Amino acid sequence: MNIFNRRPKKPDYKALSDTELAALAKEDKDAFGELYERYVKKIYNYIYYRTSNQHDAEDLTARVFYRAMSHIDGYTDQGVPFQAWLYRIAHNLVANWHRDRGRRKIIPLDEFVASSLRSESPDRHTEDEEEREHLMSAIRRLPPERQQLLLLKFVEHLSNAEIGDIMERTEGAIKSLYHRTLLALRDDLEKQPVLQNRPEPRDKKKG
Amino acid sequence: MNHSESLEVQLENLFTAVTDALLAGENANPEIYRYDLPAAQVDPLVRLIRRLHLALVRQQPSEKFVRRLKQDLIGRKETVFDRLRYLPARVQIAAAFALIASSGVMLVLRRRLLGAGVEEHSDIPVLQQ
Repeated sequence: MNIFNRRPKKPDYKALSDTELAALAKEDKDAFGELYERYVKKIYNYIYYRTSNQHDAEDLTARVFYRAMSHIDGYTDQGVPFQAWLYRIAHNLVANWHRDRGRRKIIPLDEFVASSLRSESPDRHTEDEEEREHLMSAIRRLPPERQQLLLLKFVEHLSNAEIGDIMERTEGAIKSLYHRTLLALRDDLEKQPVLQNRPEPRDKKKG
Repeated sequence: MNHSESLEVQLENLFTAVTDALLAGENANPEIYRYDLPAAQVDPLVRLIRRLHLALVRQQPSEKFVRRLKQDLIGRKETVFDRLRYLPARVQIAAAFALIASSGVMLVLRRRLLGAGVEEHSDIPVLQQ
């Protein structure tokens, strides 16, 4: 028995690009684990803002990664970065979720999130929660692709080029869509007074 | 390109530049001054961009959820060393120092205890004499 016969050393996953990891991940679960670490929080955030609740965000995040893992064999970086591929999976699952449940519009943010928003920084603490909810409601009334654009830009801090990869559009088209989205959002906010936007209490049974 | 198209493109560029500056934690005003476009078209949307920046902040999924899902996906329990891998370098160095220091303390304690045991043992024949 050769006591020096050790298992081959694992690659330094942190140093590898997404494309290299995705290629390795077809046979190496740890490589997929590294991709997971890189993107789980981003995907969760994206889904969280599209579903407005923690429970569904966790459920759909899990589904995204299970689907990615089961389809990783078919993934090759042919102009679509791994990140864009993953977001497309998330986008499709969220679209299905909305379609199945038929509740695309108003769901108030969890109290859990409201408290985490307040604790984020002192500036946030002073911002009017009602104004925030007014804005969030207006965002939820936007068409899905415009919501997607705002989330990728403001929550994920992606560039127009990266967003273009995900949404299958050119960088110029994203810039233009962003401008139109801002205009639409401004018009919607002007039409909807803040007080009318308060969500109705749900599940209130008639006596 | 006529004048209105040119203004449209300039507005698109300005709003992208303002957003990028805010997201980078920089002052967006220099961009606004640089483009010098009509305030009526610029100001309301810049205010809206600032509101979006404040409202759309990153949320953290629970650590428990992130760990459990990874465990479910890759099929093995994450060890202490796996968790250390994802910590910042200075935390890893601090953890290494803590490990070395605690090993040193254990070694010293072990020697003292063993040493005391040997001394007690060597005292016995003297007492018997």
